[in-house]
Amino acid sequence: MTQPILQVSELKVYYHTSQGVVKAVDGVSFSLQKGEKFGLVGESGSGKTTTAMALMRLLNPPAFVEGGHITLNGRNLLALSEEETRRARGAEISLIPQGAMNSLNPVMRVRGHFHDTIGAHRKVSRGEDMSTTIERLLRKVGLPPDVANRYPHELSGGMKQRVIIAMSIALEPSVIVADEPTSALDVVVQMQVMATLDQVQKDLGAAVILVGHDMGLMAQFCDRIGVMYAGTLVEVAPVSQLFEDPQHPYTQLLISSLPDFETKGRFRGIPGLPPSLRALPPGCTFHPRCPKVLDRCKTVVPAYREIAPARWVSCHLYDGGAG
Amino acid sequence: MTLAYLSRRVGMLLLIIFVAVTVNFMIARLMPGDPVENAINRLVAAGGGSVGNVQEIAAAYRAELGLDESVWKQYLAYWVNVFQFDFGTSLVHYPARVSHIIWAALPWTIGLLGIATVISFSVGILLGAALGWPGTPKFVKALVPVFLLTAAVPYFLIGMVLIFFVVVTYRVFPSGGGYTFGSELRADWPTVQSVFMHAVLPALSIILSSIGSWALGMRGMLISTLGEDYITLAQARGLPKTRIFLWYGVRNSLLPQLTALAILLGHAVSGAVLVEVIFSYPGLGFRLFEAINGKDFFVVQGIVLILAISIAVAMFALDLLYPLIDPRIRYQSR
Repeated sequence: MTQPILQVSELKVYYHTSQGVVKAVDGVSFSLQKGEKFGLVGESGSGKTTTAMALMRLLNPPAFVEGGHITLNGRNLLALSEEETRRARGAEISLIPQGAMNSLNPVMRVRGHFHDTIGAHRKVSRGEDMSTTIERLLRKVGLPPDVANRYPHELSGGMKQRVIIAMSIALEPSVIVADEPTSALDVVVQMQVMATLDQVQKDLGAAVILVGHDMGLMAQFCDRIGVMYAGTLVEVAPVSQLFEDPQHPYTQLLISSLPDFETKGRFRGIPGLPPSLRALPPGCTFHPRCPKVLDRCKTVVPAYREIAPARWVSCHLYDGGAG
Repeated sequence: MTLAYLSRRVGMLLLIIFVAVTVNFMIARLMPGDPVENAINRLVAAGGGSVGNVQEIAAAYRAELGLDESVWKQYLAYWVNVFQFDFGTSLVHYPARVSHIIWAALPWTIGLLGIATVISFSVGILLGAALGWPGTPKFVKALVPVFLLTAAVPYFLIGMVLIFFVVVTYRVFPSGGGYTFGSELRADWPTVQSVFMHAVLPALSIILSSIGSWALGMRGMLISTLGEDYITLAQARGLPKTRIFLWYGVRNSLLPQLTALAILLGHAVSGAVLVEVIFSYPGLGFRLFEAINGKDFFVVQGIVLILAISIAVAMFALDLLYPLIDPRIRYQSR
């Protein structure tokens, strides 16, 4: 296997609040190959967005990285100086954020946003070259070139998100972090935006981390999926295997709670509630809700192991072939 | 800018001025007491003359001032006068024309209030922006409680404190007036110096009391702007800090502050009444105070009308300028 482009190992992000330490991300490890599309799914508060923000090094106090490594193109992102981080953002790793509606500066034309993004990393000439570049980027995401002269409020939500996608590829980064990029859009626009993202990803060959909770969207877009629960990755698997043969009990419940026509009218969820990140249960964090709970789940934290090629699970059911 | 938008705004401006003139006319007539008789009684009391023919003298005055006509005729005449910038004669400073009093006082007030407001706005906004930025050093942020205090103290109190310490104790600045008493106003260096020295304390009391509110307002606005998604994305795009601060943060926080500034500059014409009174500054505020005390209602009317019109004009100018600074607001007729 070739050297991964992005490697996250044992990443820990804690929020230090006045009521105690919130372990939002508690030992997450995964890696991305060049051009791979990786999905991060999980319930609200499972640490998906915090993981994404840690990759961008955009965590604000009281959130702090408590441990682990993030290696991007062979460099430890967490060890970079402030200026080096700034240079990496947008150029090596770019972000497509959640709030498409409000992510562009309202008093600046689309053109200005491109100028800012590119100008922050390269010497730019204000003339023809720049206009051609902007035009090419806008065309790539399926927007007419005159969008460059518009203000954000003159664009629809889908158009704004396309502008943001165009900006995220302007400097040809090797990793694009897309944090629920379509959560504010209707399904038709959602599909168009995802198709655009898919297309530019193919052209560019960048790896994409797609954060979200829409399992259908994930299944369609991603090569591999990581399932997060209470700040940890419980299972990582290629997308078809994850849906056909989920290993972790949480993943099994998650997939069986997806609606289908055979069980129409019966809503199945996962009994119980996600634990408080301030006081995690001992042992496996999922054990209070797990239908297959074993004695040692209540005391021993399960190891995160590769149980079959490319299949990673953290569950005692797979300890030494005992499950 | 569309013609429809412009004509609508001009129409609005004219309507506001019409209402202001009308209300201004009516309020004076609805006030209890007869100003002419009051004025004569005061003259009589001061001069110690006979009381018998007050009614006759008052009637003569009323005829001269046009107050014996019907209300409608007075109203029409009032409009004609307004167009000629003629607000009648002062009752207290008879026979001085109201327009003369206003013209004489206006430059003082505009000079004092205009400069003080612009200084406190620009300095306050700069400091407020610095206070709202997370990277600002701690010792600068210590200004927040100071501003909370100065913003809560009324400007006339600061004025009195300044008079006590700077004038009474150290005699650095003159205590009142617009220029050295008894001297003539000429375009020479000593006059400029004297005008400046006389303006320092009143200006300082206005600046000290209003700078805090500007800074705190700007700080709050900037902090909430920094929480916007476009700031996060600007960081994720790798923009330099100063670019994000000025063109994403400050630029967007400034918009509501400019609205407040325009309204305040409109108000500035009426002067900071109490500051002008405390420092006996020969501005409109001082004249207004004097006129209200003396029931000199032509002067009051004139000043109030000037105030109403200048606020309307300031808002009109703001309406024309705002689309230039905020692209979301457009020159649309609908």
